This record gives sequence, structure tokens and C-alpha cells, in this order.
Amino acid sequence: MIELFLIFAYIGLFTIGGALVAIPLIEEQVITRGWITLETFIQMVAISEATPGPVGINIATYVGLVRYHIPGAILATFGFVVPSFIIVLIFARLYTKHKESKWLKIVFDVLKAGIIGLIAVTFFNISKSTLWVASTQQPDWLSLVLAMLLGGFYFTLKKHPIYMILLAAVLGILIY
Amino acid sequence: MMSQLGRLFWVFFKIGAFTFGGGIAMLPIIEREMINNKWVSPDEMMDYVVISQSSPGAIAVNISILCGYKVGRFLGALVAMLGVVLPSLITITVIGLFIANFNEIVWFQKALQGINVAVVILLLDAIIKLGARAIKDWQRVLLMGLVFSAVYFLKFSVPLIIGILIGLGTLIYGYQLLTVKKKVA
Repeated sequence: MIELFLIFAYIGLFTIGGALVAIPLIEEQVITRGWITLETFIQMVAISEATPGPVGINIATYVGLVRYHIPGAILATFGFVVPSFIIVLIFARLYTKHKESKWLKIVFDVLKAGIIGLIAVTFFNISKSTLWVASTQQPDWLSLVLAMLLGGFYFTLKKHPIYMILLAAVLGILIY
Repeated sequence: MMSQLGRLFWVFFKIGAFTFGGGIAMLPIIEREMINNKWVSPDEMMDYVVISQSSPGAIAVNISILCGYKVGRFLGALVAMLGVVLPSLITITVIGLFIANFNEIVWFQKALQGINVAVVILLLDAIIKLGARAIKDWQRVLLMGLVFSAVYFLKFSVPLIIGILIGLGTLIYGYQLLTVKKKVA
């Protein structure tokens, strides 16, 4: 059980820049140990992406569940977040202490601009997989129309994003 | 204090329950909640995004820790993180234990398809909001473009990019230091 915790702590520690990075790491640690098969893993990833919550956390919970039932799910999940918790708290302390540092301000400015670029990458990748049909090299017209509908709703009415997500779920059931 | 923590937990539980498609897509929801509760300002949120992207773990979890810390220090961070993580834990456990053929629940798959489209819109919103705060001159546009190209086309890894950007920032800082000294001399 401790092994489970430590392995997910290791995975959590090296997942930087997005949960997607966790997937190869988990594969490397968990599949080579024979805990789950590649097939099962792929299924888990699909379910983890379909359920609420960060993908990395979902996968950790799932693997833990398969391994040691409910205690395992809890252990793996907490293993995954403990490195985050410790390191982010340290950064939070440093940040509040050195907020006025010239160096920090400049570095943050640079990082902010760069991160927009990173978010743009995620945007393009997700747009491509959601709104474009790779096999026919054509837009997925139905999804595109839905996107425009949701976008119109969201950007004009400016309601809490949760409403748009609910609307998207309902419309999804109706139109697909 | 207790009611503040309770509110913090509930807000992040909501956030965790509606996080689809990754931490960035969650930003509009988090911002909305942080502003409504008067906990974190948009500018601070931008800094939190920077720290979260540069730290290990899921972005969603990291941001929750930072917001929680601001509201209630160590305990706040813990409570917020628990809030964000709990919906995942519960959902996956229920699905894993009781629902055998999750993939075959048709209406859920369809709802999910719709939600994936919503994620695209949320990401667009995040880019617009954050972009307006971060991109203020042509140099930053160039930087954004370079980072985008490096990751999208050249497949640079994110930690590498973050390291390079920190190095760049440090260089700029050093350069500014030197030019000021020159003027004074």
C-alpha cells in the first residue's frame, strides 16, 4: 500500500504542465509492474477524461481502486496530490514574501506571456479533436454549430460557466 | 473562520465537480467564483496560473491550493484541495465499483460530446481574458507566438519552456540592472 502511495507521489512530482504528462509516467510505472494491462489502462484514460476532475487525479483514483479497493483509491489520489501540495505551498510562501522583487516581477511577466502561448496550444489541440474530423479532413459541422451556439450563449449572456456546461450536456444528448 | 472554510470547501467542490477537459478550461469557473466571493482578483489569478503551470501536479489542484492559501493559509489550502479532489474520488469510485460498462451508457457519451465542445469555448474565454492581461506589447505577442510554435510544431516539453522563460526573464532583469548602473555612472 505504501508502494502505491509512493509511486503516485513520484508520478505527481513529475507531472508538470498538465495532467496529460502523467499518462506516459503512469504507463511506465503501473503497466510495467503488471498492475493493469495496457487495454484496461486505455479504458481508464478514456473514462478519466469523461468524468469531472483533473485527468491525472482520475487515473490515480482508478488505478488505486483496482489495486486496493477504496483505501487504494484514496491512497493513490493523495499520493498524487501531496507533491503538489508541498511544492505549491512553498511557492505560495515565496511568492507572498517576494512579491515586490524586481526579478520576480520580470520573470512573471515573461511567464505570463509565454503561458498564453501554452494555453493556445491546448486550445488548438482540443479544437482540432472536437471540431474537426481527421478521417475526412473536414469540419465536424454539427459540433461547429454547437460551438457557435454555446459561444453565443456564453459570451453574450455572461452567465456562470456552469450553465453553459449544463446546456452543452443537454444539447449533446439531443443532437448527437 | 469555520464558515469561511466551509464556504471554501463547497466552492471548490463545485469547481471540482464541473472541471471537464483540464485545468485551463476550469479557469473561467474559478475566476467567477473567486470574484463573486471577493477572494482573489483577476490579476492575482494570473499570477496563480503562472505558479500552477510551473509546479508539479494537476493545474486545477495547484490553483485550488493557492486560492485556498490566500483565503485561509495552510488550512485553507488543505480544505480547497480536498474540495477539488473529492468529486473525482467519489465519481471514479462509484463508476469503478458499480457501473461496469460505463462506455456503453449512450446518453452519457452524447452529453460528453456536448461538454467537449463547451470546453473549447471555455478555453477560448480563458485565452481572451488572460491574453488581455498578459499581452501588452508586440514583444509579448512575439514571445507568445514563439512559445506556441515551439510547443505545437517543435514539440518542446512544458517544463523546458518554463525553464527557458525563467532564464529569459533573468537575462532581461540582468540587462536592466546593467543599463541602470551605466546611466548612474
